Amino acid sequence: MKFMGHAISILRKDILLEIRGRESLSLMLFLSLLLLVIFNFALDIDIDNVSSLASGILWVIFVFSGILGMGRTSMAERDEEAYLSIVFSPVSAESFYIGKVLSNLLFLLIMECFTLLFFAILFDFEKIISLLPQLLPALFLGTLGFSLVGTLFSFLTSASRYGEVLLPFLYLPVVVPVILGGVTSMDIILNDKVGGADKWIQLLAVFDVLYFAISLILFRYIIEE
Amino acid sequence: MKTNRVITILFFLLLVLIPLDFFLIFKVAPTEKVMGDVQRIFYLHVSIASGALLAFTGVFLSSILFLWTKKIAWDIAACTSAEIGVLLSTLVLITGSIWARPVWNVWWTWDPRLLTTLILWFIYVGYFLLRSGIADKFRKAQYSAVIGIIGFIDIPIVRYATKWWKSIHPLLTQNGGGLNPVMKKVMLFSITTFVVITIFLFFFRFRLARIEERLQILKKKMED
Amino acid sequence: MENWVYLFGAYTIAWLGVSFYLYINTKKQKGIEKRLADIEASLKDKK
Repeated sequence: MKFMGHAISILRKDILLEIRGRESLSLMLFLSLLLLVIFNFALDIDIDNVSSLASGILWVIFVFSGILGMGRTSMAERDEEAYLSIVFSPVSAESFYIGKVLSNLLFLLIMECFTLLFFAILFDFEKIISLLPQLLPALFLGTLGFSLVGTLFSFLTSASRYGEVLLPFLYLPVVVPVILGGVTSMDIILNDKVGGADKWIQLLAVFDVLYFAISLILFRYIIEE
Repeated sequence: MKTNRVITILFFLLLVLIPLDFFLIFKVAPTEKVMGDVQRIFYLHVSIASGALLAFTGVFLSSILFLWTKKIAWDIAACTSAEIGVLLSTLVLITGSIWARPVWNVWWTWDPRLLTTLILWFIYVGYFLLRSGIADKFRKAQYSAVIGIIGFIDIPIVRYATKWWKSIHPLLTQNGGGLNPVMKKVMLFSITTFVVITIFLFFFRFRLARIEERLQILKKKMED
Repeated sequence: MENWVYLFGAYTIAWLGVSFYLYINTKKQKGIEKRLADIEASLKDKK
């Protein structure tokens, strides 16, 4: 199990860096709070429409805060070619990829939990917290999809001279199916709409498997020089 | 030059195919009863779409071949096909929109097929954004091959997801579907014509890309 | 009657698009061929 061991040590390294002040998590949280305020003005959210708007707003925030966070962590790896020390170490490209996916997944999930909490407080929508157990599968699988594609793409774009600015242009179109699955299933659960949430969650799982397989094969081409 | 000969042959083939295609579409194909003459846009639209699909398949295959062989010629082939794919899919979106207006009474509808085409278009425009931002030739080839592969595999995924999404909402648009035998034959011919056009455009652009490459190498030599 | 506009428009845009693409590439091709010839000529002169 050397393979997973390496991945776990990458994860641990990222958590340590985060604690020692890379602050991508706090930036993500700050952005999602800001976006909530903007959405409040833009969509005029009140008790009548909050339930139907919730899923859309939340996933837009997840996507954009996620882009910010993932772009930042991969830029940090690119800076001073820090990732090269990993390339030349016995850690394989695959376990490096899995480690980065796990750390991105962790930070995204933390950001999402806080965003849900902010949302419940700011818009007086406690229902979303009480429904959390049912929302969790979609939330987790959607975020996993984000992280699987985002880790690969943020490494791609960080090599470009446009840097992380380029990330959304490449990442968003590819990740559309995941966003679609996340938004729709969450909307169905929140508004007690008929049928389909289970099917979407299964679909998300299938997408995740597909993205995982493709990215795992292709990641070594981004790392190798 | 071998490429030159291919281009010449294809050019003369097209000189025959294109007028014949026009003749078939406007004279031989019967007028559709409900939509009238506007339905003739359909022959053009579907044909360009198959051309675009061919081009994107070309990107996918060349990208795989590049990662396998590491020969820069495959990268040039991939980039060339991507450019033609973007051109053709832009035309697909425009002609589709022009067709939708008289037939469905809207310029745009969030139909799964339209949505997939649009997302496809975004992916390959992104492909060129990435290319323009990386200076190192080999790295550029390597990274864009990754996008070329993921983008292509993503197409059926997007298609499936959007189809599922729409199946929850009522479907507004449905294709008539009922093409009569003559129409089907005209369609087939038109698709063939555009496949040849796509291949022609590919070789035409490919020749240019190769010569650009040669110029750059020569320039470097001059500087040394 | 009005439908003719759409039919005409679609075909015009599609063919203009393809022709324009070909036109630009032909121009580029000619420019590069000329420059290549120039460079090769100057290389010969040096020798």
